[in-house]
Amino acid sequence: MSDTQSRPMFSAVSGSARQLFLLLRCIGFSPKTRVQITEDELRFIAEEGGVMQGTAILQKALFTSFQFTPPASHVHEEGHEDGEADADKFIVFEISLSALLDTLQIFGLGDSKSSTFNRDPYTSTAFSAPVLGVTGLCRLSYASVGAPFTIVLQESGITTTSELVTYEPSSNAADIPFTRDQIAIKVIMRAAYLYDAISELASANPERLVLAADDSTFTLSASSSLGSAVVEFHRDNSRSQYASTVDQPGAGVMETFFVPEEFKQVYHFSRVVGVKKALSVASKVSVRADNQGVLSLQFMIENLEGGGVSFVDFRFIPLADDEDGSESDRDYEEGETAETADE
Amino acid sequence: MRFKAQIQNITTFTKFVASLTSLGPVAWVRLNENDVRFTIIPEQGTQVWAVLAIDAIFEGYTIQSAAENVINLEVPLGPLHQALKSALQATAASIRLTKKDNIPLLSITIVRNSIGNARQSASEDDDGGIGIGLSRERETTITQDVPVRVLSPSKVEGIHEPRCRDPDVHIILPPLMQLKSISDRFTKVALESRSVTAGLSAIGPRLEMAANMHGCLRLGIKTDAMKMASLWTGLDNPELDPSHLEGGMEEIQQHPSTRMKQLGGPDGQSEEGWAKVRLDGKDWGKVMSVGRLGGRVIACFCHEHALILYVYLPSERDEEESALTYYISSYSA
Amino acid sequence: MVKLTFTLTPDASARLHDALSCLGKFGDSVSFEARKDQLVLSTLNSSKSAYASFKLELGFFSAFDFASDVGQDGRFTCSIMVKALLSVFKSRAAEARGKNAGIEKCEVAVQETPEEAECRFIVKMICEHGVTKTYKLTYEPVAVVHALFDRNLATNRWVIQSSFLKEFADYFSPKAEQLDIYAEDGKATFISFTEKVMKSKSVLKHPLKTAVSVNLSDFDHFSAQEQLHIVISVKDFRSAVMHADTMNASVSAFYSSPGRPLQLAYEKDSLQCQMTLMTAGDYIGPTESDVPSAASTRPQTRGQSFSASDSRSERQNDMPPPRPSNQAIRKGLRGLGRNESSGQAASTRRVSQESDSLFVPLEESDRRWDPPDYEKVETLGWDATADNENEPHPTFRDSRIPSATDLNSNEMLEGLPPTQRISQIKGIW
Repeated sequence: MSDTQSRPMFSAVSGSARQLFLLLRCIGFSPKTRVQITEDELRFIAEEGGVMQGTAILQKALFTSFQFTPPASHVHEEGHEDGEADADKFIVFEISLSALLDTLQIFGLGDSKSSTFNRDPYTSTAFSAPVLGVTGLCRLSYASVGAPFTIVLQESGITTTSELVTYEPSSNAADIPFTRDQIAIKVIMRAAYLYDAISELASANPERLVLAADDSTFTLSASSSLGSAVVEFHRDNSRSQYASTVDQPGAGVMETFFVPEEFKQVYHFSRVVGVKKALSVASKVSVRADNQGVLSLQFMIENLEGGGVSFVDFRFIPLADDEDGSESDRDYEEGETAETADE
Repeated sequence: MRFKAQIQNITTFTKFVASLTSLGPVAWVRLNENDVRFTIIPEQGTQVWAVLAIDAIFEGYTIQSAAENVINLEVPLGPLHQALKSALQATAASIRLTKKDNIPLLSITIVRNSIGNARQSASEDDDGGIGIGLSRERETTITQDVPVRVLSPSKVEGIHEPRCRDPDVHIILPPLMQLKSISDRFTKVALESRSVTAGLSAIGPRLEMAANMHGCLRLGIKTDAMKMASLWTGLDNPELDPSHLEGGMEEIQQHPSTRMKQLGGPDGQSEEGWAKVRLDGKDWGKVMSVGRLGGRVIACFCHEHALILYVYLPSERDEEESALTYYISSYSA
Repeated sequence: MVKLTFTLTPDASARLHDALSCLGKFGDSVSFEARKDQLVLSTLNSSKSAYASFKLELGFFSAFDFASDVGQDGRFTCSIMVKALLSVFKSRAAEARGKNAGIEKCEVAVQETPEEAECRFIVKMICEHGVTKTYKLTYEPVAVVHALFDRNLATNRWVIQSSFLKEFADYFSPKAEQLDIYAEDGKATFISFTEKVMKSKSVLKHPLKTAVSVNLSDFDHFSAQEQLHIVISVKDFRSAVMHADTMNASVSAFYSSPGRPLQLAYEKDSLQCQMTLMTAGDYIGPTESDVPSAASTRPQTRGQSFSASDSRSERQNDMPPPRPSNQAIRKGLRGLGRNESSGQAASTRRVSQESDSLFVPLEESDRRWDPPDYEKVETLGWDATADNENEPHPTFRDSRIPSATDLNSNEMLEGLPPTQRISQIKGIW
């Protein structure tokens, strides 16, 4: 830490560790995360098995101060001589995500998981759960390439300092490509409904999740040794075969429904279930798939303070569909045309 | 051999037993005319020696035994705790030592208003059948039998409370809820990082805890992926009471804590003057269970050697205080 | 083809969940038996010592349609894994927690497709906002067996609010295995305990023994023989009581004597629940030829009940333990799911014989011709008066189910609903 005296490469202050925690927890399915810092945002990218990727974006606006000085020249000795990093003016490294999450909730006991100790009314002090929450002041900093990623939290006269060892990102860290201009399906709905549907299917612990849609219905289904379960969202309530007995005008749960032609893809259920945390805090979710079947789930999460929203983004590579190969082309080559443009 | 008493402070007794239960399954309980002592000496980990003033918990306490009215028992804490928990709503509860089927028992009898109290029952009384006083008509009696073993005086005479050198630093701990919440998190972090590099290390997670005579307490942990520490400032270092020391003021002058106080700057932030111990995170979590009693806790640090906690039960009467003493050894680095 | 369809309100769907969750504590799969005017869900535990059944009457359903032309006997039966059903029917709490559109109604259709191997039990949850959830579960066609229990023989009976029983259960150690129930001196006592060989070392690991004693006046009705100890499994008791409490029902208990089944029954709003549990116990009868006195909420006199307790007055505990002759209880409880190392030869002890299972092979009834075991009568103090009750129907037990060989008789299947009266089946012997 030779250059700690000089201005750190990156430093930011947030008034709410809880806000950062809520967003980062969404991608907590992986123990590690890639951190990408630019002048406008902090980006945390977690991935699993090359088929699932989650990105939490902490915009500059979430911080009361946000300062980033890109390195003048890239100091890595090996690799990256192409100057790619310089050109994009960002730095990237890996840290332990679980350690970061634990740090951010150091003053709280996490969600709803209250021990018997905590429940005991006799020990309630000024610091029991509600007060000793994750709301404190939080300073993030990264002094220089190779230095630890440092978090300092202050609350109730306690100062907690955490230094996370930074690692070079693994060389095969590549984003899952999603072809925005070749959209096969786009549905925007309230996150709570998708949450409910996925929990419903999850109870049987299935292996595969089938997403399907036609011009009127968006369907999630899964089967297991216990049987099969299907959740259907009807675009227009009144057209539903099982019309609601209660008359609710405009009652569909989907605010955007774009399905140019019948769609069906299969995904790893256990992976998709990894979005549960995101679904539980998001207000809306945008479900999209490109013509290669890559699934993109974008979660809109309302900020705790100051209005505004943040986004967490997930991508999934589909499973080969053995039973119905008509739509499957798993090679991610560009070129197949979808005659419809996004929106 | 006779022992019986009304349990007058069920809540405190239940919390007391619950705190001990986390440290070991069985306690050595020593009853005499002055107090009730609970001692837990686990094969590994923290020892606790606790003294309950009879007045703090019991009423109508009677004890009789051939061995100078002292009774030594081995008591399973889980069942005892469970039995006491069922007494929390009681209108009256009592405990006595008895024997059934040749097994000695601590039998706890709990009387509570039956939940059907509100219901109107028209028929009782006139039938004159049951013949039980009206006042007891609506009571439920619960008897909880906790099997115990009676220890002979010879079996316990060799057990002595640990002795320790004078502490380097003594300090009043912050609210245990804070301390527990943070130390539990640290232990969790350490355990998680171990599961990643599974099997490499057989040692449990080590928390490093240090304090100085300037009101600072520091708790930290280190793993491959991170280093983390929490710092409290502005805590109290209680003054030593000369009347409790043989050498009076002079001994205080010579006391290690007095020397430690001279080290380090007045703000306490300097690296000098800290006494440090290394604790097993899981074991410490069990010790922190005593926080439920809500008592004042003084921590005495013997640098690189041991940590001794004195937990005082809150009580209205100031005389005979009830206290739990925890002896925690420091691990070497 | 569709054999059965029915529709449930959200509330009924949640109540069905509660019933299923209770059944799941007894067995892994649940048997459905539909008739034109009712649906019976039942399960038998693996050791065949406990049987639970829930009868849903027409009032339970918003709609109920049974194609009664199916089957020769007007019944349709099948079996489904409980956990599959529990993933479909959610509890009220889960429903309330969900931020989603609530269920508006639940439609169930049971299809049988002869040409397809898989039979389907289809549940359609129709929710607000155009959301539907459809589940297809496979079922197995099975012959459903029910435990029979004749309440006429159960001379001991009591009725109490479920909230009392739930409170008792809360006091019991979670590790306790058995529950002894008896009445004495105007009080009913429920003792949870665990029968184990105690070595001095392991005494400290022994679970808590809990005795809960209540006045008989807390019961809505109580008429059971004094000091008749009846022992059932704590776990089964707890399962029944917890469910009864969700219904806020009054629970009735019916039993005759140790070694014969006990039945807990309660009902509310078109749902009738019955748990038939095998019992063990140690009967400490009145000495000599005393007429057994009944502890009752309206006892005639107290004299006789005292004669019983007086004979034991040397044990002056205020809470006398249920004097188990340990051996008898351990043997007697074989049917309660305990893994007894069964080097036990065909026992001549009647208690253990009968408590092996709720379901006794026909040959068993032959044993009535065996010479009586005099020794047992003496040691256990078996009360002749109580025994005589059963004499007129020596082949009948409190419970009996049609065994496989019986099933060829449709008439019999038709004629053997639970709690059937003896008079109805006399003809078959």
